[in-house]
Amino acid sequence: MGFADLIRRGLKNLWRRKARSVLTIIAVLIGSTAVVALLILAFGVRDVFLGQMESSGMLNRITVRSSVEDEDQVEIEDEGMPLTDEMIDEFSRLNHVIAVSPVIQTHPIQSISKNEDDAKQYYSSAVGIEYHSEFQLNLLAGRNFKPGEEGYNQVILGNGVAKKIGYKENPEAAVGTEVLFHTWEGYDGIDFELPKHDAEEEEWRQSKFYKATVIGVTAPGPAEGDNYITVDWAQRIRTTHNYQWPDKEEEEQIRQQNEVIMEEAERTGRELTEEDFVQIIPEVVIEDDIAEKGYDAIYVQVDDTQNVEAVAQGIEDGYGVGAITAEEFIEQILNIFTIVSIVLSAIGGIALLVAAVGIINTMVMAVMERTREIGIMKAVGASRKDIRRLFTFEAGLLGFWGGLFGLGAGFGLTLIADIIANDQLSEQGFSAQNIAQLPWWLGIGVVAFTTIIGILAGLYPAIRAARMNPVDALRRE
Amino acid sequence: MIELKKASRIYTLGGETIKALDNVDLSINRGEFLSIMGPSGSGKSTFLNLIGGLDKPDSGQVIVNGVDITTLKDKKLSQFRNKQIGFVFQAFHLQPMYTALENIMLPLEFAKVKPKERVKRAMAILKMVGLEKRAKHKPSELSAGQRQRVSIARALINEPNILLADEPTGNLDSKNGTMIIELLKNIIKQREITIVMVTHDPVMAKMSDKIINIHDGRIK
Repeated sequence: MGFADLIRRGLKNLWRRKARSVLTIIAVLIGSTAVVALLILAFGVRDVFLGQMESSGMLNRITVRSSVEDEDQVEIEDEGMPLTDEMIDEFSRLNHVIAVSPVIQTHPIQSISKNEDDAKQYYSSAVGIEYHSEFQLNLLAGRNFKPGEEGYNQVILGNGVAKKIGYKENPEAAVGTEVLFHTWEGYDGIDFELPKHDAEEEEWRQSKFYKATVIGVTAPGPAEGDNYITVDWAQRIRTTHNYQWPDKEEEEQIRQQNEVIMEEAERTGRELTEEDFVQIIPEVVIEDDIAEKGYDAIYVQVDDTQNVEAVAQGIEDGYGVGAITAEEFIEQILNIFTIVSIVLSAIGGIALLVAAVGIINTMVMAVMERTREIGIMKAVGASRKDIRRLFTFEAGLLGFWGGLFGLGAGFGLTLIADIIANDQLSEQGFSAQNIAQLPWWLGIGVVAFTTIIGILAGLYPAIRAARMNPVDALRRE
Repeated sequence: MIELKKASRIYTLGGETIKALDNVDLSINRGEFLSIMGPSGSGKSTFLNLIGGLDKPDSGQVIVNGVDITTLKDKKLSQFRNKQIGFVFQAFHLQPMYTALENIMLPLEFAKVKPKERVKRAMAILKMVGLEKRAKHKPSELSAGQRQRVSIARALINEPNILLADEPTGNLDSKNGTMIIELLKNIIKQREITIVMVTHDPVMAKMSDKIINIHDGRIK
């Protein structure tokens, strides 16, 4: 029996018992629909995630910290080499490095509000970086800082922050407006007057604010909670005013001077007022945190994802600093996606298992019904192999059709899911993403898989049919 | 040349042992038209099934054209049935879903004949049995006599050298029955073929060259 005969007979035999074939195929269809839809969604979400990571430049970025961490991200040394401008200079000369930027966190900033009238403050800070032409933020609205721009009192709002303070629908509207960055209580940075040293506690606990003009809003993504400012402004914010009180020796001297004044007054019998004493007055000290301790971190942007690990290793070994790449983080995320995919396809797999039992059932029935036909075929020269092939082929066809229609149905479902998801995403300011992508290997794989399931399910009935005694088979009515 | 040597076939049915064939020795010459007669359950059909390779004896040999077919494996045995044997059954055993033409072509599928060649050969055989105008009819649209002629055509399509007919006229009236026997006699004239026919109709049996009687699994 040739393959063409097999197809012709197989199709005809399935058509002969339409209702039963269709029902069996539906069972396979449900299983494969589940597998296809769930896998496509899992892959789609993963791709969207990776795309976000890529467009944010995080995949090619190394974050250098002065603390050194081991593989499990446990700090080995918390105070390593300070991160200096010399280091930045040297990093930028390394192979494959396209841009280097210092990173300054603005711890003094605690929250943000839309304007002075709006009392609502949201927990938020800002990151100061340097903006090179190769090192630009992915923006939804407005502009990036120009390379070298000092950019005092200007900010690129994080997408998430813009949403919170009321620019959910229209991030463009935020550009050009003024926002307020509030400091924690009692902070006195470079722009603020220090209260008198003997001021009331009330005055010390005042929180101050920086005004900033919004020049841009970032695209949504994993880092959408961060606001960006220039490194110059960030360094300024980190520069604090403090009182330095005289040390014990000086205090002792003043005390002695005052004693002399008191003794003299006693001798002369003069009434003393407070002004007559030498006061203990603290000195105002301006402390540049960054100049003293180095940068919080350095971003090193590498030309290609493949070179990231090597460059990171080189930096760690050469400078005794910690170099963190997104790779481990990405790997962990990808692992999670893989597990989710496996779990989801297992759920579909259970449906397919049930469908396989359905195929066995259908084929056992078919063999019983067609006993006489099997006898006839054997009498005119069909071998056991011919009979076995015919029935396994029919079972395979059930799986094949189920898989094919399931592929269509599953893909259709993800298209619907895609529309809904994109609706939601665009509502939240995300750019449109195509989740419903059908990789060719998934299409072929699913149909091949259900076909193989069909063939395996058909094996038992087919072997039974092949072993049938032709004399008994022909006698059957 | 067909030879049975001490061929026995024993069934157990409901705990009872039935000797369908008991140490049968027989040889049939090429080109013979042989009738086998005997009452129901005498072992006639078992005899045919052994010669046709549908059944195997419990002991003894069945030698067809010099080959002991009891030793053949399934692949060779099915080829033997396909190429050297043509079966005609009392109940016709046609496939109801397929047309006369398609029914006739069935053995050619297992002989791996090309589709075009199949149709050519099947039409020629249909013409021989006088049914070329019924090629597209399904068995349900044919009379009993026509159905049996289709089944004879199917048996002959692969040009076998042995035709085994198990009560071919059993489901037919005498007019149609006679027509079938005449057809078989014509075939034997035109082709080099041996026909073994099981029947319990003495009128039909008389039209053959030779009659053998079987009783309780033994040749009388």
